[in-house]
Amino acid sequence: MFLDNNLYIIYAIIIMSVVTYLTRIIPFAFFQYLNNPILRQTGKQLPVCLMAILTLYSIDSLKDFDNHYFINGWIACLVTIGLYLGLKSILTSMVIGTIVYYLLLNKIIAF
Amino acid sequence: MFREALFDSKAAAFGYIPLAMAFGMLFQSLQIHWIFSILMSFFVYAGSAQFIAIPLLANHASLLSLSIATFLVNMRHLFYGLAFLDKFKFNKFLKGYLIFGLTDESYAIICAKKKYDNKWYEFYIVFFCHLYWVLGTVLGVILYKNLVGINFNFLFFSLVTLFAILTVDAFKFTRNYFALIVGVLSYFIFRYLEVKEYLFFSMLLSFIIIFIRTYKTENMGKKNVFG
Repeated sequence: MFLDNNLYIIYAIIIMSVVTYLTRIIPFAFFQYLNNPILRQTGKQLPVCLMAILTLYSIDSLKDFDNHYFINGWIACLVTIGLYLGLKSILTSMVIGTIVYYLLLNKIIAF
Repeated sequence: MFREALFDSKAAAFGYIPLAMAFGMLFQSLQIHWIFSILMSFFVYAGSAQFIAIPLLANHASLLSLSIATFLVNMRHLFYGLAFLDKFKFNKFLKGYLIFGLTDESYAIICAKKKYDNKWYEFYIVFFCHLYWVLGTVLGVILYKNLVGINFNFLFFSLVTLFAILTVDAFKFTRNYFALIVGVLSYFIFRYLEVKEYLFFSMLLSFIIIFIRTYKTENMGKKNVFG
């Protein structure tokens, strides 16, 4: 992972800010078009679907540096979900989940 | 209002500062100038999109796929704004800033404290959340500089924990098995077909399937009503 092209990063930041701002301002600008019951209903169902996809994608992204990403990622992910359901604390479950992953990655604990 | 907002935003501080620190450290691991991490957090200010950008940038993804990924990850914002149309009663400039700062956390805090209904309260919440995010990034950059030689790759896992928790929350809220299964299946289809932009295509396919299903059930409902 090495980026020597500053211009590429600058363009990336500009384009990402513009796109992100668009997603935030569109409802204020085009309210009458978006306020359609089917689109609203779809919008309510999307978060669970998109977040699940992003969870899977971010586990798969671990493969760049972790040969056992699938098993390590899933164990630590299930630990995080279990802790979150039990303790209802976002920060605690994130921190402990990440520590568990660190221990698995460095083979301090192994399955 | 300043004090109430400071107090209410402390939940966001606990969530944002560690996560932004993780972002700052990981972004620095791309070996770029430190100012870019801070500019990214200041101007883009979208947690999930910033994290997703790291592997994309590392692989020199095209600006088009970067903008598509950013759009899809942030698409949920489209539906936040709908709840706030009558809020943010400021002049254009400040209103523009508040719309810019409409994130998962600020949205949740402002929704939870409807009783205030004060525009300055809304302003301070948005401002504090933005501040925590930038501050966390600065701390992450500093930590990265001072902890040379330590491998921070494991911090990518904090992103998995964030998305897993957001999935659990979204599922608890809707109890929608259909949307969950559609998302997981379309992801695996494109992933194992080894389609290059599989993140984009799996999100697009799920959106289309859910949209069509919603359209069909809405129409069925109408038919039942009108005989």
